[in-house]
Amino acid sequence: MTFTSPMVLLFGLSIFLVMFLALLRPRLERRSVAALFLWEGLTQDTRSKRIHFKQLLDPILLLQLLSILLLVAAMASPLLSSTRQRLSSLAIVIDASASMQTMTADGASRYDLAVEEAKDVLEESPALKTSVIRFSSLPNMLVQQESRRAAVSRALDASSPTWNASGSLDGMLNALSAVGGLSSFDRVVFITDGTPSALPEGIELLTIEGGENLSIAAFTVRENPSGEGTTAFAEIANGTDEYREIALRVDDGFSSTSISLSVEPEATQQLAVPFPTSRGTVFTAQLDVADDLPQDNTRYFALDRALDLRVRWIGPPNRYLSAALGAVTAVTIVAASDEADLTVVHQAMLPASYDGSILLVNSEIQGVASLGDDQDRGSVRAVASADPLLEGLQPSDIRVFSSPTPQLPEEATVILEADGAPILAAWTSETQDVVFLAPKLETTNLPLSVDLPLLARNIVSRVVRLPAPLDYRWSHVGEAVSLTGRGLISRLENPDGEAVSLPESGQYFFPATPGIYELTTERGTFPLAVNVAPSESDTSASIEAAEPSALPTATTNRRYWVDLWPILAIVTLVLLLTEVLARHRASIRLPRWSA
Amino acid sequence: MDYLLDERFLQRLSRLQFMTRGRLGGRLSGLHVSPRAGMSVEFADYREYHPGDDIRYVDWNIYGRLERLLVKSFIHESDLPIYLLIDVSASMQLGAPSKIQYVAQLALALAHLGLHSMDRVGVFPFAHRLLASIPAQQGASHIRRVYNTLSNLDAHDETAFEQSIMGFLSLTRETGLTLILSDLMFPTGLEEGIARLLYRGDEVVVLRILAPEELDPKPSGTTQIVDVETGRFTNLNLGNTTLASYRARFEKHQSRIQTFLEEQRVPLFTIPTERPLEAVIFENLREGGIVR
Repeated sequence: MTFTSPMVLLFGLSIFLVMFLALLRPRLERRSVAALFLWEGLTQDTRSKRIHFKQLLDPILLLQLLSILLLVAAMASPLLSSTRQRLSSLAIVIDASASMQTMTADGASRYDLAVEEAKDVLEESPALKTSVIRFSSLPNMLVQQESRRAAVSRALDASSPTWNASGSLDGMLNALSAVGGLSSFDRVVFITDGTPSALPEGIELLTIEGGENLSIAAFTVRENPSGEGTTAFAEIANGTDEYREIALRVDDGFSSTSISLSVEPEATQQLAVPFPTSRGTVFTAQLDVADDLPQDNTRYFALDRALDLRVRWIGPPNRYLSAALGAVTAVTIVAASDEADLTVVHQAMLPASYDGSILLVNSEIQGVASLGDDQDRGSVRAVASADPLLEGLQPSDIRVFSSPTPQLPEEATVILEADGAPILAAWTSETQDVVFLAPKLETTNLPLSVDLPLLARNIVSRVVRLPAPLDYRWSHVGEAVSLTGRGLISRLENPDGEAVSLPESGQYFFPATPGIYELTTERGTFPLAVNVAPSESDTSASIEAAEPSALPTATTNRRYWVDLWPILAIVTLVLLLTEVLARHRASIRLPRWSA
Repeated sequence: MDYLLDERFLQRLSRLQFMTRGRLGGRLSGLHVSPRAGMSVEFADYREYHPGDDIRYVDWNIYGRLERLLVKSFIHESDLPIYLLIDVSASMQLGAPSKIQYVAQLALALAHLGLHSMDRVGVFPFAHRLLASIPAQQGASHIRRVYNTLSNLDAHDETAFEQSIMGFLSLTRETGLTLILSDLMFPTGLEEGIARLLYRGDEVVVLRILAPEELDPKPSGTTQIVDVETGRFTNLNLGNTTLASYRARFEKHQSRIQTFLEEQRVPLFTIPTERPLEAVIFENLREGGIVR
């Protein structure tokens, strides 16, 4: 036998309190006599311990103590090992992705049906420990190793689906590993409206169905190549089994265009909507239909236009370096260091007190980095080949004919070297973020290769974190949305205008609802479009397949347990009734002596 | 309370009658020898003639022979007043069945016995004083009043024995057989009360009725001992030692009563309530010479 809540057994110590109180209780039996003079002043009995003990062990007190012990034992939920009835551990993975918000013909959402299914599973397979995972692209533990079935049911009732995308199988296995891993469960049930292409052995699938859906499966906006206006592209999906006449309206914030179209059953249709003169940044596409998941009938897109890179140049100009930076993004030369995103120091000496993001090209920082004499060099070798500054570069193609032998601070990371001398290095101090290129550009083959603009892009991405190309991808609810490249963040608002708390790094956030978020930095206000993942519109979407060999197998050694608490509770009740009757009889018996 | 006595028991009672050691003076004719000369056929004695005597009783044969006027006297057979003094103090409510119940049944049996043998029977309940009583009367119909009185006895109040006896003596003028039915659980007054009765000339019989738990109490641990009459109490640990001490004190009390009564030639019968009435009457009282 085992106890689900063994700590409750500590309440058993309360019997000592009851015994203590019983000792305090007046224990005098009342006996009426005809003449007190026969009793007064009798020799007192000091040796009748047996009678004292008998008095202590009066049946009512014994019944009370037994009742307490049984009650405490019942509260501790004792379980008796058995060949049937109760599992050792049960995991229920309930799909809480956006598609589970689809309403069904019963008037309940798929998630509501999934919760009912989960309760049925609890009923048919009561377990010693039950865990429930609310599963989506951001899985979270709804109930962890809970022994009380009522608590699990309450947690299920209180839960709700998200607007997140469906989670991956890896995500599910990771979530299960947080509570011991797939192999630690006797039964794992996955309740979803999807059709997973493959599930590990040991995971049972319960499928929820119902509801019809039409959706905007894709929506994006591109600037026209001419530089004038934009074009919106949309894909309409008809998930029903009949032809549907659909009205699509696209809005750029200034004007809107409506299009009517007929979409075949179980088919998609793509269309382009031109906005020849639009300079809008927030675009909305909306389907005018009635279906069971209206949230994917509206899609948002924020046209994130590129920002200028503000550069302060110190030292003689270099047209190769200028051209490489200009190839990355538009560059604006500024005079003040506090206005600059990046300070380029070319063949110059920088004071040690200078702060900010710095690109040192054949330059020095007083007391921090010095160059030394030039020496002949040969081929270049990557010391830190995984460094982001080398992304896209071929170090073996770079030639350095001569370079100095620099003295760098201890915290500097050497990325490229030639003949043991650092060629490319980087370091970060409290006030400075420095990328150091030792040789003169003219003494290398960089001006003639594609590696210089790639290096410039990587430096810009590292130092100022500006988005190099425009990002036309959607941001989905529940997935990390990058906030970098837009300056120092001061505020982020959700579609309802409420401030969103940001993680400490301030570089990303996880949106909870679809819509247009507004990011405010010192460089302006930027719209961020967040949509329900398009995969949620397709109820036949499958979660990703997993490598069967990588999947753990569920154990077949099931342990079953029988709940003993109901029996103990009934026995306790009977004992309490017996005690009441005994007390009643005792109170009846007294008058026989005392009349 | 069912005080009815079964038919067989009543028939057996009918064959009995009270006995007295001396001659007690009843007013009516009965089956007992009176101290006065009477009109029965049984010769008693001769005495000198005095003017006014009935000349029918002059023995003329003696006068002819001796020339003395002598008058014949005969034994007077009179009835016997039976006085049932019943203790109804609160202490009589103890026991199971209670002592008052037992006493009421015993008194009913004694009353039936007395009335059936042409005696007059009176019932005199007492506690702190003599209570409403039934004067001694004769006749079968009197048993109804006796029954009603006995069936309504209610034990309460303290005992004042001597005062009650004084009340009894002032209420009754004739001497008689006085049966005291009591637990005698009072510390004082017994000797004085009995002495007053004996002084008047009553023949006294004491029936001491006790509950079994008074004779042999059981151990019960720490107990509050409450006097039902006074309400006073004491706390005792009733173990074997304490109870042995109680029994010794009870025996001493019993011995004091017994010694006094023996000195006064008053028979004492100590009867536990568990003893059957038949055994009390046909064994104890018969062997004790109270009935025959």
